[in-house]
This record gives sequence, C-alpha cells and structure tokens, in this order.
Amino acid sequence: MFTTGDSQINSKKLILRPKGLLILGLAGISVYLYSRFVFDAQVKMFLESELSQLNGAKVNIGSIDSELLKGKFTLSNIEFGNPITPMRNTFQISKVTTQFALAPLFRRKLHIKDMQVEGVKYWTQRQEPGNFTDDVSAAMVRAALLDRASTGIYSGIRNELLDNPLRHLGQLGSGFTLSSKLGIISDKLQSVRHLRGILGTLRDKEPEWDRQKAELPTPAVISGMKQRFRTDKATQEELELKIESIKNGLDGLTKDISEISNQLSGADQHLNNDIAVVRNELGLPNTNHRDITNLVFGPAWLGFLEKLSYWLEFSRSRSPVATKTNTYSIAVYKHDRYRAIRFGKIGASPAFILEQATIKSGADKNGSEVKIDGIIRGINTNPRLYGKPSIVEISADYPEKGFRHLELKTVIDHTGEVPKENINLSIGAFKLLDWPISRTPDVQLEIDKARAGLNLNGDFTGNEINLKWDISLSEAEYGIHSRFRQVEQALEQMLTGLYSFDVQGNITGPLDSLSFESSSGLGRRLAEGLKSEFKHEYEALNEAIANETKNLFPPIKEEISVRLRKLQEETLPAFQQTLKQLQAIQAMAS
Amino acid sequence: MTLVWTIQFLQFLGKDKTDFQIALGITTGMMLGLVPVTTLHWFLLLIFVFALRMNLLATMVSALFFAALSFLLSTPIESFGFWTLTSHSALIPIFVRAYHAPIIPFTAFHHTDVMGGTFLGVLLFFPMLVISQRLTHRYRDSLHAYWLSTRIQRAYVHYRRFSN
Repeated sequence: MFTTGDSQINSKKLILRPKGLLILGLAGISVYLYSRFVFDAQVKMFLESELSQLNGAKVNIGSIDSELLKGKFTLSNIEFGNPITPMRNTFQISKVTTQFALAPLFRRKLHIKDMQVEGVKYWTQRQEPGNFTDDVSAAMVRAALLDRASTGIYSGIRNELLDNPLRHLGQLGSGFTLSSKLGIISDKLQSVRHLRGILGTLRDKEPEWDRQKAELPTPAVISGMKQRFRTDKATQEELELKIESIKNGLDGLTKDISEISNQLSGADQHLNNDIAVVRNELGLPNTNHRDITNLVFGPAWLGFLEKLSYWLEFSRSRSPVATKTNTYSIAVYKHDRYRAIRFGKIGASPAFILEQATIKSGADKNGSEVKIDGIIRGINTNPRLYGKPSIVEISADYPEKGFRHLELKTVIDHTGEVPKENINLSIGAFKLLDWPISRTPDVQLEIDKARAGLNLNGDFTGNEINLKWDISLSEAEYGIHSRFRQVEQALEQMLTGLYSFDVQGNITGPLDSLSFESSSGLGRRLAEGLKSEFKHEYEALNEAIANETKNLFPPIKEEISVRLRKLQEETLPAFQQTLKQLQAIQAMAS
Repeated sequence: MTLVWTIQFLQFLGKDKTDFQIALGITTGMMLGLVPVTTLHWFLLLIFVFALRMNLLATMVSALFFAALSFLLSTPIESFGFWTLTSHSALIPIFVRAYHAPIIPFTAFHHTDVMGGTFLGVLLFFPMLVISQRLTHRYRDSLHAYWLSTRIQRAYVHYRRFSN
C-alpha cells in the first residue's frame, strides 16, 4: 500500500529477501569459527587484563581450553606477578578447572558448580618482568591484592598510637629548642588559656565598671542632695536607692577583684597537663606508660586490620545482605557513559555462585609446591537467596620457607539482615623478618628475625568488631641503630636476654568507638627500660617544658595586674568614697 | 576499476528502490544508529536488514547519520532511558521479569543508554516510516536527476561507454 508511481518495480516480489537469509548461515559459521579459533584467545586476553588489574602486577595465563557446550573451562599455568619484585611471581598455579552450569548463562548468570585449583607455587622465577612499566598501565593499576586496605576507618585509634616514646629519643641527650615551638602551640596550653581567660573576663567587665563609676553622683550632686535632704521627701527616697545601688556595685566589684586574684594563682596547676600536651604536640617522648606494646606494635596491627577490613567491605559490597522485603529491589550502578539498573528479584537465583572450589597442592616431590588443602563453599552475590553462608577452609604448609601448620577458617554469613563474619587463623610457626618497632631518624629498632606462632580470632557483626590475637615469639634477634651512641647502648641493655615473649591484643567495640588493648614482654621491658635509663633526661625535659611554659605567663600577667590595679586603686575607692558621703548625709538625718 | 566497483556496490545497495523500501531502509537505519552496538537486538536488526527487501544504501546512510546524532545526544538519550526504566512503577515488574528471563538480558535493556536509544527508536519508527516515505515520493525524481548530474555518475557512464 505504500508503493506508488514508478516504484511498482518490486511490488510483486516478496517482502522477504531469501538470499539475504544466507546471512544467518554466515552468522552461524562465523560463530562456530569464532568460538573455535578466536574465543579462547579473547578470553585469555580479557582474563589476563582483568586479573592484572586485580593483582596490581601482570598476570599471565599459559593456555585456555574452553568447552562451552560441556560447561567446562580449563586454565593452565597462571602466573601472578609481583609489583615490588618484578622477576618473581607471588603465586603460580598449575591448573584451574571449572565446571559451570550452561542454562544460567542464558540469563547472564554464572553458576560455577565446581572449581579445582591444583599446584600452587610461591615466589617462582618469571621470564619477563611482572610490573607495569608504562605510565598509562601503571596509572590504571590498583594496589596489589595483599596491599589493599580500608585506610582511615580506624583513624581514631591510629591517632592514639602516635605517641611512640622511642621517637626523638636521641634528642633527650642533645636537648630540645622549646621556646619558639611553645609560642606556636600556646593556644593549646591550658595554663596559658587559663590566664588568657582571666584577661578576657577583665576586658569584658571593665567597661561595665567604668560605666557604673561614671554614673556615681558627682560632689555637686551630693552637695545638692545634702541641702535638699531635710525638707524634700523625694530626695530621701532617692538617697536610699542610690546607697543601695552603690552597695550592690561595691559588693560585685569586690567579689570580681577577689575572684580574679584567686584565679591568678591557678595557672600553675595546669602545668602537668601542659607538659603532656607539649610532648604530644612536638612529638617528644612520653614515659608515663607501664607497657608500650600498643604504641610499638599498634600501627602494624592496625595496618593488618585495615587490610582485613578491605576484604570485609569487599565481601559486604559484593555479597550484600538483603534489607528489604519487597519482591524486588532496584540498584543503580554508574558506568562511564550510562547507568545500569539492576532489578534484583526475591526468588531468583544469584547472578554469581561458586558452589564449591577445592584447592589441592603439594603433590610434587621436589617440594616446589606449597602444600595446600582447601575448600571454598557458597560464594555468591545474593546470600539471602542462596540461604547458606560462604565458608573458606584452608590448611597449608610450606616447610621450605619455614611456614608450618596454617589453618584458616572463615565463615561469611550475610543471609540475615545483619552481616556476620568470623575468621579463625592459626599458624604453627613462621619466620618473622624485619618487623619494625620504631623507624625514626633517631632510632631504628626492629626484630631482625624470630620464630613466631599466631592465633587470631575475629568476629565481625554489623558494626561491631571483636578481634583477639596472640603471637608467641622465640629466638628473637634485634636490630638496633641510632645516631646517638647513648641511646643505642641503652636499648641494647634493655633488650639483652629477651629472646622470647608473647604479644596479646584485642580490638573490640563498635567501629566509631573501638578500644584497643595489647600487652607483651617486649612492651613492658621497653617501658621500664625507658623509665630507668632516661629518668634524668625525662625529668630535665619536664622541667624545661614547665619553665618554658611559665615564660609565656609574664606578658599576660602584666596586663592582668595593670587592669586589676586600676580597679583596685581607682574604681573601688571611688565607690567606697561616694558611699561614705551618701551614708554621712543619711546619718545626719538620724 | 575502483570507481566501477564503487558504483556497482552503490547500485547493488540501491537495488530495492520503491518508496516503501527506501523509507523502510531509512527507518531501520535509524534504529541501527540509535541502538548501541553489541546488544542482541542490534544484531537481530542487522539480520532483518538483510532478510527483508529494503534499500540498503538508505539503511547505511541513515544508520551513520543517526549513530552520529545519538552520539551527540547521548546525555538526553541516557536520561530518557533512566526515566523509562525507573519512573513507571507499573513497568518495573515487567522489567524485573525481563531481567531474570533467559536471553533478554543480552539486549542490555537495563542499561540506560540502550533503553533510551531503543525506546526512542521504537517511538519514532512509524512516524519516521510515514514521513520518509512521503518525502521519498516527493523528492526522489529531483534527487535522482541530481545524482545523474554528479561527476562520479557521469564519469562512470563515460567509462562504461568506452569499456564496452
């Protein structure tokens, strides 16, 4: 019906173009050829790129063999490069075999029924450097997997741990220049603030007293009142009122002068607090601790906790708890040029499920593989639908690197409304190398090497954390370096004979008010040693801080005394004299 | 030879040239241009282009034109898609079902740019078909005359005359 005029040429032909349907055949052949010759290579490139981004260094896959119709996928010889040591692989995996369900793929869902990881090697040699050398790739790469951390979430605790008494230890002997620094932080000193407060009060009240003083009756007024007093009843009432008012003013003035004079002597009471403030602000050592384990080991532990928290947040974001009871939920995910709306549906299956993965390694006889026996169950993107918690159970041994009896059990339960995670980690023995205790320009103290064992138990429920750990160290050797010989000798003396000790600690409470406690033989030994070895230096430092703080007082006190003197010598006598004259008139009447 | 091949290719593309076939070509080209590539329905549209008798030259030119236009208008098209996907509570259960149905998710309909382009294409399909058919009917003679007068066509005719 649309054809008109000269366009009747093809009107009797079919709307279908039979030869054009050949395109379908061509498309079919193309799909076959693509899947036969190109698909594996493309998937390899894609996986290498994605895993490299995830790993923070190059990931190479030896070969890929996909059998889509059988739902099988095999990756061989996967090398995870190391960003710091480019010629080494952090891990190398011989083979990963994946069996997935075919039907969910047509719903854009990936359900891995079984995954088998075989032959895990650690720290193997690479043929080519594994780091990203060009700027573009390097800029796109995120931190390495094991280096990712949720920094900042424990900043409250981290700030408490800045007071490592080993900081500036060397300067105890050489002395500090305090006066200029104290001037800068004087606003934070309670004693100075106390005096400035008094001065401020004086400055505020002075105009009021001056006004009241100006309103006192002049001698001429008093003389007039004296003459009118006997005959004029109004003058008598006025006189009474004035006497009352001046009496009140005089009481107030006397009270203010007395209070200010008393407060003036209170500045010295804040000196002890100020010493702590000055030390903290200027990073000077503090020795009021009985055990400095928190300060010595705390930052490293928080670093570990921040890394753990990254993966916790990762699991909570990728496998979130359901909070709504609707039949569906809508989530918007932003991409570069569009937004993707996800229509989550209660009753459908999760978009991703890894039903089971087994890790078997250590079968080779030359000992190059890490002995690992692990199982991972129920990793999925919608725990409420899946209905079962995810579980990771791994036991590992690597005697070649001094690493024995690692047992890890993690339960991630996001099936309820509150996310719960539990982690239990124990390591029978491992080598502790280059563990920093203090790294400052003055003092570098570290545990060069030690044998260690670890037990860690963590419960995370919603916002609540309950993490406990216990490390036992033995055969500890220390590295002590300081540019101050006295400090080096003192530290050597403190740590002599301390070959083994335990470190216990816990972090508990809700995220916004965590409490962090830890104790160790090393922490106690260092605290005691610092007190005894540097006792005189600390006392001298305290005294110096107190003296320098007191040196800030005179200018403020001078201004206070000038103003106070004016009140005492001018304002107060004026009130007293006027009152006396008025009372004399009143006395004449009686 | 290149010129001959080019002209012959253009003649092949321009084979189906009733008003309706040209209009259908323009309209389908518009859909191809508006719908982002790498979606299932884009490939289906491509198959339709070859399976149905329509003017391929018109389809190609129209697809290029509307692809450029959709690139320029990507922001409003994306917002239109977002509005379509989220602002109609009656439609959401349908989208939910479609999202969890087999095959349909490969259309990426839940991407705002895809929904924006596709829905706009569907809305404009019939108006564009009618308008382009009328315009074709009205201007085809003068356009054809213009084509015959172009240097490329005259050179081709000249070449054919001497090559035979």
